[in-house]
Amino acid sequence: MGLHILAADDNEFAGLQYKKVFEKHQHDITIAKDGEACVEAYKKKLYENRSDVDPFNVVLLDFVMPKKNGVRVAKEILELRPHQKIIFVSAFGNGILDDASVFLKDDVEIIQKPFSLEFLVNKIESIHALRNIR
Amino acid sequence: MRIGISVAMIIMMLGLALALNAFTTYAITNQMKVLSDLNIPVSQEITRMYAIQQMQQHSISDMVTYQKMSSNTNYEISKSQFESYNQEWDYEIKKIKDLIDTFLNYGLDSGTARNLSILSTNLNEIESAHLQYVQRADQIFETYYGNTNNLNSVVTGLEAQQNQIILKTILLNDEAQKLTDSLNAGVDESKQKAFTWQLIIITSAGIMSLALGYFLNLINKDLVREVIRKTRSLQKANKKLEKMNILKDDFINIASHELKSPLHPIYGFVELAQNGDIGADEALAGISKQARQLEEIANRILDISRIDNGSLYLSYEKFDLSNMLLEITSSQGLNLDGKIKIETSLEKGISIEADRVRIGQVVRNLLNNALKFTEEGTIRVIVRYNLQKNLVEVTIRDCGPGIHPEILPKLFNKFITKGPKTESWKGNGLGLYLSREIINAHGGHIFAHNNKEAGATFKFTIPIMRHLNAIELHEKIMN
Repeated sequence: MGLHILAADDNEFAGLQYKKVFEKHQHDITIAKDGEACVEAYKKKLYENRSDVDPFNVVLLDFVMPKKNGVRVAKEILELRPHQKIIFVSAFGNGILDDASVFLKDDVEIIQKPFSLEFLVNKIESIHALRNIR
Repeated sequence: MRIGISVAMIIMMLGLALALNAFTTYAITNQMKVLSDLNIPVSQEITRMYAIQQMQQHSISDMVTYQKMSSNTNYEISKSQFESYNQEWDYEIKKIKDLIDTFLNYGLDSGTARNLSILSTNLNEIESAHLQYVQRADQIFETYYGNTNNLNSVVTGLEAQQNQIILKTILLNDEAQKLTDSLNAGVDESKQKAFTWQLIIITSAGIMSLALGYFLNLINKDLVREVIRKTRSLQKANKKLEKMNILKDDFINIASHELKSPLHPIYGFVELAQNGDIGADEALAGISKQARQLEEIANRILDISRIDNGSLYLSYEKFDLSNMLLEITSSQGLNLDGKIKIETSLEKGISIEADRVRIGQVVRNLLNNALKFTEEGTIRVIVRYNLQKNLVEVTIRDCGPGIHPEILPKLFNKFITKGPKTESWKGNGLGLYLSREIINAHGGHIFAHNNKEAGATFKFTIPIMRHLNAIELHEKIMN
């Protein structure tokens, strides 16, 4: 069964590639081109569902984005749904994201660029499987 | 400086005191020498002269007596005695004269010298008086030899002369005594004077030392203050350096992030193409576009480091700025969708002298910014020439959301819109910094403000001609 994924990346090609690979694996993916669009897309889906479940299985966030950066987007999303699974995608080295670690918890993780698209799909699928077991 | 002068003066004064001391000692020694070498012998000689005179007198009266007694032998003895006394007298006189003459050439103070010359004059008088006296006596002895009858009155005259000599001798003695007194007084005076001067000099040296101490204290306080000030400014500089270091770290982080970001989609395209998810053409097109973006970022970082090293060189050429703007605004590279329109208002027919490539970079950058922030509406591009001021002004006005008030004051700084810890905007945070540096290198200015209605306005001015004053420019255009 397909997962619902929200991915925010200001690089149009990155967004395009997420779309290609996740759709290939039968998942449903929404792409946002900046932080603001990402929050809006999240809210929209949340209110459409009007249920107690997270609107997306995973939210993929870039740190550096126009209008709202990844950290702010994550904060806003976590205010709405405190246990929303969020994965940060980072091209920064370790250490520079110390600030972000303040709100890091089990539901939030960081993966370093570059990674293969298949790796990302596998990771998200396995996270979802783990969550279901719990 | 002040210390140097004070120390020099104190040393000088102490030296002066020492010199004065030496000088006084010399003067006193001199006076003492005169006292002991001249004065005491002189007094002794005078006493002797007096004694000799007395004895001469006795020998004369003896001679007279023996003459009366017609005791020839005794008479002759007394006469030769008189003559020997005479020689002694001359000898004594000569001794005193020699002493006085020696000391007259000695370089004495004027008082002593005057006393000495008085002494000398008196001595001369006594000598001549004595000579007369002796001659008279001889004459008497020769003339009245064997004839004692009329001797009494002559002897009485001689006695009067003798008394005169004795009186003069006594006077001479007084003079000698006066000399002694004045020399003693001179010694005392010298001592007193030296003491007073030394007291004055030492007191002044003491005052100077106190002043020096005071100055040193002042200087010390100044130094302490200076050290505190320097320390503070060093601390400040240190803090600035720390800040700069952080900025540098940020720069490296952001630069590496910017360089890494386009790589990710390149890998993505390769992976998708390899798995057959997309066609090779699509992948290659994407890869090439990302590669171009990488190149642009690398170039910008290169430009930034050139600017930071002060090695951004402009290659000036003449070109038509309005034509250039027209080309850029109508080029395909801007990716205009139907919602955004660009309006131009360009004065034409004037060439400017500037770095064509760099100015193009600035214009493209400002236009891209305007496009980035404008969802829909009109972007206005205006070119105006001010020939009097030798300035061309380029304005680009958008109708986007405007510039955030927190960002506005530092808009043209490096990475102001960028960074993992700050809110980020589109772009890589280098464009406006580069633009400002390029415009500044041309001797121009760039500024930005938010419009009253909506959006932001960016404006830059650069000189039309590089090395031309306004009048020349005007003439050039008129011809």
